[in-house]
Amino acid sequence: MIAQRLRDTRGRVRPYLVLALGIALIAAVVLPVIALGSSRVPQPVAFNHLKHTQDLGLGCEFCHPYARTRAHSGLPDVTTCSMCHTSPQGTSAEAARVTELITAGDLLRFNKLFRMPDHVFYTHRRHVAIAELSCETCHGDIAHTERPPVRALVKVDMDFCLDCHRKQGATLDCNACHR
Amino acid sequence: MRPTRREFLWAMGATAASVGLRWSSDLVWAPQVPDDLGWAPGTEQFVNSACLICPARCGIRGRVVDDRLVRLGGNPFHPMNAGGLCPRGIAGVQMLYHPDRIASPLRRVGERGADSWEEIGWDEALGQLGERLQSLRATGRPEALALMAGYCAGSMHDLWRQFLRSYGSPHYVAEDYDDGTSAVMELMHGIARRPGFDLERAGFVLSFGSPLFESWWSPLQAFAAFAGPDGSDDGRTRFVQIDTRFSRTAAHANDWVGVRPGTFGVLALGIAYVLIRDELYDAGFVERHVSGFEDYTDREGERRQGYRSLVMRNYRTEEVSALTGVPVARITALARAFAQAEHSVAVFGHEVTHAPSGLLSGLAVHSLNVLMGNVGREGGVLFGNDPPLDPLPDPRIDAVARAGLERGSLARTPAPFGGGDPASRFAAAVGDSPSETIDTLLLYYANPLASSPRPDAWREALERIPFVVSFSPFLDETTAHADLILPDLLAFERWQDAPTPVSYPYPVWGVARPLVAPPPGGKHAGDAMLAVARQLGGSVAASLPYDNVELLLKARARGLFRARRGMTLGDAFELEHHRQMEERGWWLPEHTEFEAFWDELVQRGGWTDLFLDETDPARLARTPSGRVDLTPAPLLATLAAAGRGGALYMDVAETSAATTDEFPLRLLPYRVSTLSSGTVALERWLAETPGLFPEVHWDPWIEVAPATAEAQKLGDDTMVWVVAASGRYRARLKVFPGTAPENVCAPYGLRHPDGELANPLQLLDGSSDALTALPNWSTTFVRLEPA
Amino acid sequence: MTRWGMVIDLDRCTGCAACEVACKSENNIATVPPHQAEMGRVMSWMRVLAHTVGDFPDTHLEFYPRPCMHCDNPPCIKVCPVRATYIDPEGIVGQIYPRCIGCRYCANACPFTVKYFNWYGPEWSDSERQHLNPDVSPRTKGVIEKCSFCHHRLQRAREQARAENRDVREEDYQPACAEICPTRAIVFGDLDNPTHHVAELKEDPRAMRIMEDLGTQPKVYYLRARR
Repeated sequence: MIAQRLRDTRGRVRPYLVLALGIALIAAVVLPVIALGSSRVPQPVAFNHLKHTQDLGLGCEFCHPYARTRAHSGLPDVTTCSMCHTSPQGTSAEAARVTELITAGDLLRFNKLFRMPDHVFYTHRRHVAIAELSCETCHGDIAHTERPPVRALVKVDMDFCLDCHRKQGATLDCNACHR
Repeated sequence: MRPTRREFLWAMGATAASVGLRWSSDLVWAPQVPDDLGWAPGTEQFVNSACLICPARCGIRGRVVDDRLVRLGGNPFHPMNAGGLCPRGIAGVQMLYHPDRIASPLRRVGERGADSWEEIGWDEALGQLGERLQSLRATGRPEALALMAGYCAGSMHDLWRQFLRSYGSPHYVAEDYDDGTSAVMELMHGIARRPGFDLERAGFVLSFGSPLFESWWSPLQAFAAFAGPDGSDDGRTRFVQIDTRFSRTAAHANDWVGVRPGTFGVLALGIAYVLIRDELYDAGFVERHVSGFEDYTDREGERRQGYRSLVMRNYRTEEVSALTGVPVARITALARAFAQAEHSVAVFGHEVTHAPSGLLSGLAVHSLNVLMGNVGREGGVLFGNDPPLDPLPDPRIDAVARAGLERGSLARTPAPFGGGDPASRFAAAVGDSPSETIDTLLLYYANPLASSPRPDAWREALERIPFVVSFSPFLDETTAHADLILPDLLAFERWQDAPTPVSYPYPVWGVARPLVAPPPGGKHAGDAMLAVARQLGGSVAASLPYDNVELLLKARARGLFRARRGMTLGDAFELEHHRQMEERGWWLPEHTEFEAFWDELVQRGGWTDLFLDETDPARLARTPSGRVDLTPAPLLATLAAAGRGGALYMDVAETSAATTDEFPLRLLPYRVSTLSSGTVALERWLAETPGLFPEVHWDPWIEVAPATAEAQKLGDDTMVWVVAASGRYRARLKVFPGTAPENVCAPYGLRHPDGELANPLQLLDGSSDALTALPNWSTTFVRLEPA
Repeated sequence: MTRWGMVIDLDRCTGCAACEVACKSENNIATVPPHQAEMGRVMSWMRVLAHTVGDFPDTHLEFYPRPCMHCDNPPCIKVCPVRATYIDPEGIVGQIYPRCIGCRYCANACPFTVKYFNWYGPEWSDSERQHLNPDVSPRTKGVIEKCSFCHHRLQRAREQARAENRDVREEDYQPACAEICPTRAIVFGDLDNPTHHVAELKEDPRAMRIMEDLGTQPKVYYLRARR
């Protein structure tokens, strides 16, 4: 049926139709993947990791307090930022904006950058507190970024997990991580 | 025609494309849990509270994750359900998060029942109700206010009563579930209270049709007894079920006995016959504590037959066997098993009393407990105490209220020994009165258009009531006819006390506290009425001096704090330790401050006192003679006046009802564990499989014996009409060998998936026991027609 | 070696179905519309199977509360073309949903009919999503789902035990059905650990397994009713 439609009345192949079919095929398989991979994660302010972790010497757990105890490491909100930013800090325009937002009562809800699908059992406690992995293992060099990345710096997919699990001699059992 | 290579490739390509399109949508994992970019800390809490879904009022423990209630389980501290919970309770999360709940007060804008509403604020809604009530009192007509309340125990019951009394309305109409047992107890013991059954400490439970494992007062109480004290097999209670159908309780009890409908009392007397004949009864107890056993001379000097003579002359096992259909050998075996167990108890309820000779049958069944001396002692029938709460202040009754109260209730008690069905009588009385006799009707957990056996009477009554207010959070049949809806908070969102039902013999005062925050704009019906009381001011406000229900409960708990007995809930060891201390006369205060006591009480889920003083003679009988009376004089007098002879325990078998060619099958309505009055529609997990056997999904069903179905040429799983003289309803026929061929067993409270009701109670013939006015549930005959 | 298993005492079961509903709540099991239910598409990982025998009044019930048997020799895993279902080292037969292609071979191979196919995606309104258990991923359309012995609870229990530097204890890991059972008819634990209750119960003279002759080696034992 389709094969017939792809030919003109004299039985020759219609190249444009073949091309269209090819494009449709590629689009059907590839586009959803691209679409999923490309969603940009917005943040309420342009947080400067470098400034906070290097210049000010704050540890990761200052703003991600549950990294050793819970599944999610936690993200800072207005109470964390208010420790310093209720009064102007530094010279950057963004720092001034933070103070403005806090004064205006904004909650400063940061968004998750690294996300796990819901069929994965992942906890920070298991990896940070028990296995003693460093944050960089999965989060890359985020501590040295000056602007909030819009995509995860490290692609954490199943291959990435399994590579490390193999190297570390950790469990490779499906049920250990799938739920 | 052979395809060319090229054609073949195109075809493959096209196939691949279509597969690719499908896979691309299906292979990408679609997250179902809320997965936005935000994050939640995943804070997990386990909070003790109490279930408010059914009258059992079990202790619950909710798993709350980030202010979402994700699981309900039993509170292991609660002595009655000890960590277990029934399916209805577990599925409560689906009621809580049901998408159809009413979010804010609604005011009717179109015709009544046209389902056209406008959302209004709480201030405006309560203002409207308050003004209406204010003006009724101003015009001297407080009795034009009525409240129809569904099952309502504890402080909400007291709050409503207090409101109505101080307001001046005599119309507290309870859609209560009278099982007739309290009339039996009043006659025989002089104690007008439903009996408690100490199943857990009994060795042998003989249940006369009580659905202990399904929809009894507290199935969890029965489960705990069935499981035994510590999970070991020693000391487990043995359960024998006597039933008119193969119920789930019959299926899972240790043994079961099938009887003909209406013959529970006869079978009990047949058992009594064996107990007396073989001298198995507790003669010492009967001699010390019972009157009316031997023949006696009454006050008028007339010689009367006592219990022994009546039973020995009239209930020989052969005769009983012929009436009940139970073989003689089984009757004898039942009697011996009942007598031999350390503690045995005969349990009964509406299955026995909702019959033409219901009261007499109830007396007959309970006489077994008396014969064995299993009353007022461990493992038998116990009359428990209510928790020693502080009462609400005495209601202030001003002149307007006094006048209103004196005008009396529209629905007067029609029978000498019971109240019958007050809700239906109220509806009928409103129907017979001039329009607007009742101006305002409040509906609190009541949906009479669906649950009443007489919905037509209610329909007529509602037409004569100009202003109907419903507190239902869901748009049920009756709420659809309301003028104003003030949606209550749901269970698991509100403060309420949750005393266990009287069937559990020890007082437990559970406290339900919110497991999750109520939605913005939600309001507790109790808080709403306290606000209305404040608005009305004067004596009404003075009678209800509480800001909200939480504070009302806290104020009443001061009585527990001062009582010098009992304890906040705790684990099995703590509870037993405390009980034994009290038994030895010790009670040590655990708190010196009330605030700390209250905090612990709320945190643990309630208060209990498991010690009952068995030596107190008032536990056994409060009759003038101080003895348990097997032949109560008032009942004898009533029977004589009605021309029914001068002896009790006669005419106990129901023989009046008979089949006709038009209606050849007897209708036996029953209640299944997973539902009540249509709320199952709110819990999808239960609606999907409401019965375990026969297997049904979503649809209301009836159970019919294989031979009957075949004779009527009705196939398994077909839709049929159940037709009675008074009406008909639609249900799915299930061929079920556990039904007797002459019966149709019909669960009630069910709905079709489209909402259509299927209530066999609405087919009932309307007859009742003249002594109690309780309806007959097994005297209606029906036929089946293909639908 | 740990081998998780279950013993169900039929003498204690009252058929209350608390296990069924607790399982549905714990594992985010979707309901199907009425006409689908009529076609036998109801999903119930734990189901009290009942068969009524004999006419009134000589009627009795044959019944089994039936979860996945977690066979030691599971026929379902042999037919799975993508290894979506497999048996893990502690004996739990797992179903890895994102891996499943929905061929339903395993559902047909299972003699206990405990594998359920999602004919449709689950339909939950926004408010109903609130009660979903965050520990369990809801399944999507076109995959097989089954009882997992609530292995997400094992994941958490293992982590807790690791954090406290000890082994997983019996009470640390109980599936939802065993936890809720009001008559304690369902007992769960390590069949090979003599300190666990199940190890003792499976040696009871009343113990049996259903369809044992098929050689699938179920790890769910039943204690026959005495009655």
